[in-house]
Amino acid sequence: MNLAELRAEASKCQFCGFCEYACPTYKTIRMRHFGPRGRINLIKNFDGELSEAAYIGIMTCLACRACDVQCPAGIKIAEVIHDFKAYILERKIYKNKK
Amino acid sequence: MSSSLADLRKTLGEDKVVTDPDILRIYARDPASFEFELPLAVVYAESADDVVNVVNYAIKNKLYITPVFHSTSLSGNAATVARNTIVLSSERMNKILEVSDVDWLAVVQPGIKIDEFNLELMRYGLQWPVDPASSKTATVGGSVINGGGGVKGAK
Repeated sequence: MNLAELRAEASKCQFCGFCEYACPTYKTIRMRHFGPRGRINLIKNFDGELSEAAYIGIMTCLACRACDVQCPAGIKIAEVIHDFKAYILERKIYKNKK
Repeated sequence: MSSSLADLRKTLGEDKVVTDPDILRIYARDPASFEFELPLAVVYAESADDVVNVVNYAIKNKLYITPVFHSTSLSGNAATVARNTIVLSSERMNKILEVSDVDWLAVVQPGIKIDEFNLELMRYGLQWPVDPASSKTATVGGSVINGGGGVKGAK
């Protein structure tokens, strides 16, 4: 997916948080940006720059896909995060926001 | 970061106070999609003492506090609508402290999810009947302060 498609997919998020129930990183760390809802909304809000905390939150996704089946909106959460990781790594967009 | 938040960080610990704007933005809203103000900080309380410290700071510096659990409210209760707000997150306060099947009494921290709590209560043949549609991710504390209901809520 390109960035426009990633944003379009992420914008389906209604912020219900059902995905967090299944997420192993969220269960361990208990901070929103370490869960699927936080990651998807970081992608939705992405303005070309990413703070260090947001970068760490996105890059710690294990791609286990446990969240995918939980989402009532049917967002391909793991795929969006995976493709966004590729996007920011290709362009070296990380830790560049104060 | 204002000096007051630096003090708060010093009191609570580095990892419990987040002031990153990207992170603040995902804590400023809930599913109601209300217009929100960006909070000054997100504080991750881990004990009652942390909550007391945050409240004392808020009073001293004339700041608002928005208590946030898992932000599943559909009526904007978890959105930060005022300026100069600290988001007090209880996500990490998720322990069951005591369950008594004799007295039908349970003592829990507010950030435990309703379904997680009921899974534990099943072992004792008990239930906590408040079951909003979001019980999978809504918390005990959140449903108490927002008047959570559900089909079994009247019990």
